[in-house]
Amino acid sequence: MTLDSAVHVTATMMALAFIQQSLEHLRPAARLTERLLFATRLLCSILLLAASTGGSPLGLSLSIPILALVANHFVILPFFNGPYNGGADRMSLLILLCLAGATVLPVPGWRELAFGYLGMQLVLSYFISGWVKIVNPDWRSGRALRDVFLFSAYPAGANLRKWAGHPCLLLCASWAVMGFELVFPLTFLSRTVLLIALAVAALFHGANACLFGLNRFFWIWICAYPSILWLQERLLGGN
Amino acid sequence: MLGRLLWNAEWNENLYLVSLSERLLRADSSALTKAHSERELLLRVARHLHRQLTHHPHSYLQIRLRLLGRLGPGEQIASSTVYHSSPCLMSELTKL
Repeated sequence: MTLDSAVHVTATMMALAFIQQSLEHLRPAARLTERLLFATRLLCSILLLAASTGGSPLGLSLSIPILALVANHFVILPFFNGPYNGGADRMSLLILLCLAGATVLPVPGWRELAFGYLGMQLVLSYFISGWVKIVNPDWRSGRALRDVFLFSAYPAGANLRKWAGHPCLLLCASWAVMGFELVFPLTFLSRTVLLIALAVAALFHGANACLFGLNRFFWIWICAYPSILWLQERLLGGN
Repeated sequence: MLGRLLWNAEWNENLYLVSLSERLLRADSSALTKAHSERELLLRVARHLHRQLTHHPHSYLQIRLRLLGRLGPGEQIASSTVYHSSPCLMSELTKL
């Protein structure tokens, strides 16, 4: 996978994720200012999608809609006084800034560094998440996961709450999540194992989206996957 | 459930309301952050209530925020009021 193709795939996926996010903000219940901010974001995302898939009638390069999205993001941030959707918004900004670096920086090596940084941050996002959990006694005992099922207000069905009554299952699930997140950096050493790990991680995000309503995390996290696949190939030759 | 992968606007709005409440209650939040959080909460709750009403709210109708905190680590949910805002006119909030 070349840098150019990985950047194009990431830009396409991010544009689609941003379109999904923007449409949610255009609902009638949102205030006019919010809708205007996200209508702009929607337009820039559609332009980026057209540019990344080669469908732009104006022959637009990737960098113009990406820079417009960066500018738009820095207007949206103070409107919400920070992220609207927590980690999903932080990941959105990270991908956006890394893509901006990978398309705008003048030296090829710098562009590689910007895109590689995204891949490394993805690895760290899983590892640090696992580390934060394993140093927490409630996660080690399975209590944290039980509380998630017991007190979650997400209306995914009454069956979900019943899982809180299976402490052994939740203890195993807690350690499976922590173990997976902590060993994730090692999967970088083998292309095949990395592909499997990314598939498992995507399923994990998908389950979180279905069970706890975290749909934006699913779409935005998988946008960073091409960067780690490119980085692995760049550093280890795709072995 | 799968449809919510593509569209979960109301739930994401609820998550933002929780974030605003946390910012409002956090001891290390600046006065500006607390003021923004309270105002956003009031604006969003007022707009939501306004859309539920079948008739135009009277000019004197007011709302206030009451945030509840969960008590203790037990399985029984007990709560106490941890924040009370001043009353605000609905008509002022829904104009914005």
